[in-house]
Amino acid sequence: MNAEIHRLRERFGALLVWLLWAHVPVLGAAAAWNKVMSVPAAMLIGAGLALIYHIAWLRCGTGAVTRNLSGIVLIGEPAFLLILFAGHPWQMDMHMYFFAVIALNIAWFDRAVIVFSGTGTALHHLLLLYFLPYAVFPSDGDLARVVLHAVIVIFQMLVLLWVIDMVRKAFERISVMSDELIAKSVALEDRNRLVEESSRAKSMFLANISHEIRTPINAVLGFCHLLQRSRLEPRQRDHVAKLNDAGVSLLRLINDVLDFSKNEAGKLTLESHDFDLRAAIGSQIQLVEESARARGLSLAARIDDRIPALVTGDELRLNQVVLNLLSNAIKFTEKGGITISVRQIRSDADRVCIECAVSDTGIGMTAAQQAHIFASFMQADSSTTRRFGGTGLGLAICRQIVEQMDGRIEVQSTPGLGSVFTFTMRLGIGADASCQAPLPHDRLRALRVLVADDNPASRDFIDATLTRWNMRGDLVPSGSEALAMLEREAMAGNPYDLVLLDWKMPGMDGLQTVRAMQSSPHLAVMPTTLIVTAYPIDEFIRDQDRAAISAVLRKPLDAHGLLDMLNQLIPPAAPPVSSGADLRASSAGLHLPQAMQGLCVLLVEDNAINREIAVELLNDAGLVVDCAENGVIACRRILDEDHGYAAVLMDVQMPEMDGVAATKLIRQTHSADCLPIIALTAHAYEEERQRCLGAGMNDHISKPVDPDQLIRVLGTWLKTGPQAVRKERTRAGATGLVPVLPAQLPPFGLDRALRRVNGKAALLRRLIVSFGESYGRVGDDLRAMIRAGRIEDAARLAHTLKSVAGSLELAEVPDLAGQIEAALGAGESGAVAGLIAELADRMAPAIAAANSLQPAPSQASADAPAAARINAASHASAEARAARDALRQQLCRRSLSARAGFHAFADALGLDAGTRDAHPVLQALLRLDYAEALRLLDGTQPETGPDNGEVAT
Amino acid sequence: METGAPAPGEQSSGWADALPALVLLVLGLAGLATATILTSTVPGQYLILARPGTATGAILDMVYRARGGIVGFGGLPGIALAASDDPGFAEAVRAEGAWIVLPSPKLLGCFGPPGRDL
Repeated sequence: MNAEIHRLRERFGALLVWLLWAHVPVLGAAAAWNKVMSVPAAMLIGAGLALIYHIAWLRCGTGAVTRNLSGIVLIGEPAFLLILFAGHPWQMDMHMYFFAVIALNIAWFDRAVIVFSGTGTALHHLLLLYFLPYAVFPSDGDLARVVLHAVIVIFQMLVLLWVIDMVRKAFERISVMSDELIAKSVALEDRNRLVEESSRAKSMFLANISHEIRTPINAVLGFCHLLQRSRLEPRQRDHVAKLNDAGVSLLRLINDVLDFSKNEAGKLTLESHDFDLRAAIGSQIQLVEESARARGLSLAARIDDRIPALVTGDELRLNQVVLNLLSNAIKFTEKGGITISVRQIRSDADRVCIECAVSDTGIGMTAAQQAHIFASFMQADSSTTRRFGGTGLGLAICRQIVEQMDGRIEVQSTPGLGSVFTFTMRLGIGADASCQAPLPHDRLRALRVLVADDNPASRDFIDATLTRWNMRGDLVPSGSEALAMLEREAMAGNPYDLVLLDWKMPGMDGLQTVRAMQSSPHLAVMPTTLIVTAYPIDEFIRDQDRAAISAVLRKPLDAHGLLDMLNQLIPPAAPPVSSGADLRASSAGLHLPQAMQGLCVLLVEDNAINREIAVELLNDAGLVVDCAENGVIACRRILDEDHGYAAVLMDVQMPEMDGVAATKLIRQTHSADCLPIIALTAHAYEEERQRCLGAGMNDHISKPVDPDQLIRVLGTWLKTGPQAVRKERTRAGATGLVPVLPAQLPPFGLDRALRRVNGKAALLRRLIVSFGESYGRVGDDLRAMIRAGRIEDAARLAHTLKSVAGSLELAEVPDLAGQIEAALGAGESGAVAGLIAELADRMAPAIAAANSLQPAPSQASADAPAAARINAASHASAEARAARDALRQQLCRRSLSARAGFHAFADALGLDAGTRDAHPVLQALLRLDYAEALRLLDGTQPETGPDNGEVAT
Repeated sequence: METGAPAPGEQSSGWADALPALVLLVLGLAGLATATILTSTVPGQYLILARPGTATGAILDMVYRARGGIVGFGGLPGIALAASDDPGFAEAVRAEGAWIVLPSPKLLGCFGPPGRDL
């Protein structure tokens, strides 16, 4: 039987119990009214009927016994009412009730019950309405009327049977359909589960592949960054630059794929905060202006004055759309220009709808190409991909972002004439700009400013920014015009106080302008001069330039960054800075403010290469760095040893204990206010960021680590209170941050050499010691090579010596080495003997000076017991043993990470900076002599017996 | 999931399941007939049930001997309606050989006019 019918029977069966008991008072009332029978007797009979059914219901439920009985009991009620209404005009009306109760039995959906009740009714009528009257009153037995009633009852019974059959068949069909639906639903659920599992697997794959790809890209880009800051031959620099470009392209591609898949999965979450739309557009313009300039394209911006100073929305996503459209416009435009215009199309009390149009004079598109230009993985046509490259995801991502912001994006284009990409976007209206945006102090506002930039969009941006700040600014498009303006105003007695010079300008560039300003007889006092550039400029700045350049600002220039810099250079109560004294502190924004210099941060990172890069960057920024390889070590350093770190940089995925777990543990005792923790993760997902923030981290930096972002984030979170400073000073003394170089070390030009290595004395010391070891016998080596006919090797050695000696500021040696190289290259082997002899003479004091930095034999001897103690300590320290084992494996693999491994080992041993730098293992590593380093390391293994504690070091 | 399988009690339907209902039907009809006859009686009027096959004249004599009079005969043989003012009429008729003597019902069925007195 159909389960649904069974449920209906159960409900109806229970209802009948109440219905039959409800008849009892009705019967009593009828008896009282018509006085045919005593009330108790009538109620007793009614109760008897109800009780019979009730007992059957309790014993048999909806079984056939109960159903059959109910058919009889139900017709018993009208039959009894006929008696109670005997002689009353309503008696005849009680027949209606027969039909009602017979019909009521349909709720059992049982043919037998209907037959029972119909047959019972017919028998009742035959007996009581025909047979009994006929037996007593022969004239009263109206058989025709009884038959009529019986026929009506039978007809009703047949109708009810038909209805029951129909309903039961319908229920059967529904049951079959339901079974099929449920079966299909189960199959669908299974399929959905498979799809979800597949989707989850895809997401995991993307997350993992992101991590796996970003980690090596981090290494590639990081080392590119470090390499680009070192001295390189032009060809090497070109190679490194191309390597960096390829890495950046690969990273952009990965970001596109990740963005798109995240958006497709509906996981695009928009942030909402106040931002300056004009500054945001200006930043994007600055990002592409060099590309535009390189292609000879003009770039212009028009921003509607009605747009509020601050709007609310997701600035990052807006920038992504604008940058994509601008980049596309530049990519597809051969000549002419690109214009970005932003206008307000409507607004209400708290929302504003903007329309941004990026128009170009490029190759344009046909209508067919426009039709699918916003589809995924689509470009105008396949030849576009071959010609211009790209994934075809950029515009699809733009569409996703714009639609998420209640906007739309469309294109109008004519082949050969150009395209106009237009998108609308709904943004909130930010708080009053005057309340939110910081304004320059009075001294800054009083300055006369000159801006030189060949790009009109950049000039417009700076002009708009200065106008908002209530500052006066004159704008010129070239260095020569800037120089002319400076001289003219100076001669007029109204000199400029502040000059912003773009570096890359046609004609006289920014640096040339600075030099011209310095040599100008009309400029008695140099103004505060800032160089603005999107390129690494350090190597192009000469020493004399540094005296004139107050700071270098990176493009894209943002208003807040510019104001911060100006506030540093020209504080409210201090005279303007007009020297280059602070150049290094502000150059390229990679140094932290003075108040943060020397603070100690803990870097928790399991990847040795990433650790090395981060340590370099952080050291350059002026921080002291402690390293931990995983969360367990980090927690021990913070919770047990209390080093008073100013911040923690925490990798997320690490062995033993990951960054999230470590952060949760640390947050039990250290609040986010007292110890900032910044996540370093290769995952670009918002979920990952939220997971980090949810665990208690203060901020999040995704890998590959952008040095600017790293320093900017640290600048935001680092604690600069007096307690942190005091701890740092104590720590600096304890960890051996003592001078590792003498004040002078002739013939090395220590001051200039130090500047070349960003002031890292320990590094310079290593370089000088290494120089002494490598070139101590350079004269003999050269002669031997020449005798052996290895002229090319000799020339290469001379070339390298020239380069290294130059970086160490050794006078005369580079020139001599260069002459030897040139002579060897010209095949004048015989002429070089004199030069080599002179070189050896000039090198002798340098080698002696370098050797003076080596630990003296007595000191080495004196260090032996110390080393033995170290061994004893390492013998007792599981961490030291583990670090030594790890280092040994790195040496066996000849891994570059062995240097980081040595520092970890030295950390575990607690070696101070001087001992560490002089350590023979490190020296061997710096020479890339892994075999020697391994031999030395194995020599430090403690022997088993207490008498064998001597070490080979 | 439930299917079209019979629910409890469905497949065991048979005469055994019908018997309680049939018994109730028979007893109910008997009870209703009795109640019909015994309710709403006519004072001084009796329903007499004699042995089946008793002739009409014998019933008439029986009633007269018990000091009553015949009001009418029923549609079936052996059934008569009698009237008497004698309170001992019922006993007397039984003594004369009647099987059952009951107060006469005022009316039977529901087709007749209300309040009929015979």
